[in-house]
Amino acid sequence: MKNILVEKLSLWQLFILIFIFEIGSAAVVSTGNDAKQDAWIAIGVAMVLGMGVALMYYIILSRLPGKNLFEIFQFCFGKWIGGLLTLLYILYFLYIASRVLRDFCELIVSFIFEVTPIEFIAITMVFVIMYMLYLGLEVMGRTSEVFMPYFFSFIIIIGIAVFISGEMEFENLFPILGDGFKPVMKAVFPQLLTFPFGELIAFTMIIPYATKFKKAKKITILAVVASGIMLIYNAILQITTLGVGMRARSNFPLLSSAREISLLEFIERVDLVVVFIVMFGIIIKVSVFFYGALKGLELISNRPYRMYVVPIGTILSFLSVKISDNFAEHIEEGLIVVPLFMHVPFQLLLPLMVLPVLLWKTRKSKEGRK
Amino acid sequence: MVTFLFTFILLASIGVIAMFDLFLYDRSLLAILGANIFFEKGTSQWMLYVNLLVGLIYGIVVDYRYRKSKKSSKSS
Repeated sequence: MKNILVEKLSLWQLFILIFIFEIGSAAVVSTGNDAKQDAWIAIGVAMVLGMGVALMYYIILSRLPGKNLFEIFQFCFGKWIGGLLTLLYILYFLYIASRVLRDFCELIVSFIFEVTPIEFIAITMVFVIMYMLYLGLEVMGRTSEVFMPYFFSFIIIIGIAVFISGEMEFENLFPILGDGFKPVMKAVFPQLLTFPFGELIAFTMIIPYATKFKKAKKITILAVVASGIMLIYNAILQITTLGVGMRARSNFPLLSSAREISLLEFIERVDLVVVFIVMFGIIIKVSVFFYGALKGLELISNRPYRMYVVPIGTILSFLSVKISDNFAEHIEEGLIVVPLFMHVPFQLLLPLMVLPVLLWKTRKSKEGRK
Repeated sequence: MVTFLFTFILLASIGVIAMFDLFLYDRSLLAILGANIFFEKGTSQWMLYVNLLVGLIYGIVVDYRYRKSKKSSKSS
């Protein structure tokens, strides 16, 4: 293979990437609506299950250290079936990346640039992502390191500011588990488990490049817990500020909550802070999915992934607009089709299928060495 | 290879989108494919097609340069 660079990511960078990735678009659209006022409990349950999913991905990767999921497919199923699975995952990663990008474009077009064409927003955003990925994984890690303090503190400050503004009504959280545990479980599977926790499948392309692979397990679990806590905080903020009904109806509940902030009749309309959080989260999330797809192309074609950044990037912006005619259609597809027909097979079923084959094959090769 | 994979990924992705639309909405396959492949007149979707063209040309240039460098390394 020619010109293929081995990139390394520090454990702190890995933690930040997972943290921002998980919050990314989950902070934009409302999650766990089926559980109503218990959405925060549903997110907590999904977080615990998400830790299990992350552990499963780590177990798969730890059997062949240094190899990503696509290389593991080839090891388990050979060149052709492994290549076919890789191709399916490339399409999956690109599809999800374009969906995430569409979330952001819709937000921008609805609230900030109301007369700018969505196509223009999509193309310019992809330019930023292409540039970052062309410079490599390490640049993505460093960029997230720089912006992390702002990202984290802005989310916390929004909650505190809404609280001080007196817009929070904690009665909205009651009754806790009023309808029992069933609505919570309905919200958890497949929706909350697959979005955002199961989407960690994209990190099977990144975790092998962590500097200390053995410690990556602890870091991944910690990042899942940290992002889960942040999402719970977010859900409580939205439910107490907007109420269950308004939260379910709002396209972008975090933004609607932030609009309630009014401090000293002076600090108002802090929407841009939310847009910053969302923009950065989306850039990282799309980049990680896009990187996963590029690594797949690198493996299939035996050429460096940088060759594909520009051509596939143009496809990404094309898909993000063509994926649906309007926001209602986009959300409908995201709630009905994507979790069942894309997330569950690619995030849970296929890795679960690979695991026994991998365990059997690696045990066989270890015995052979002995 | 870049051009080939560009074309393949583009067509396959359009296929995936069409499949979901077919599943969710009561429209014919041809109508869905037509809507996904061609752009609506009077909208700004032409930008996406110009962008795709840039991607295609970039792919062709990369392939040409790769082939050229391979040939020159073989001859030397």
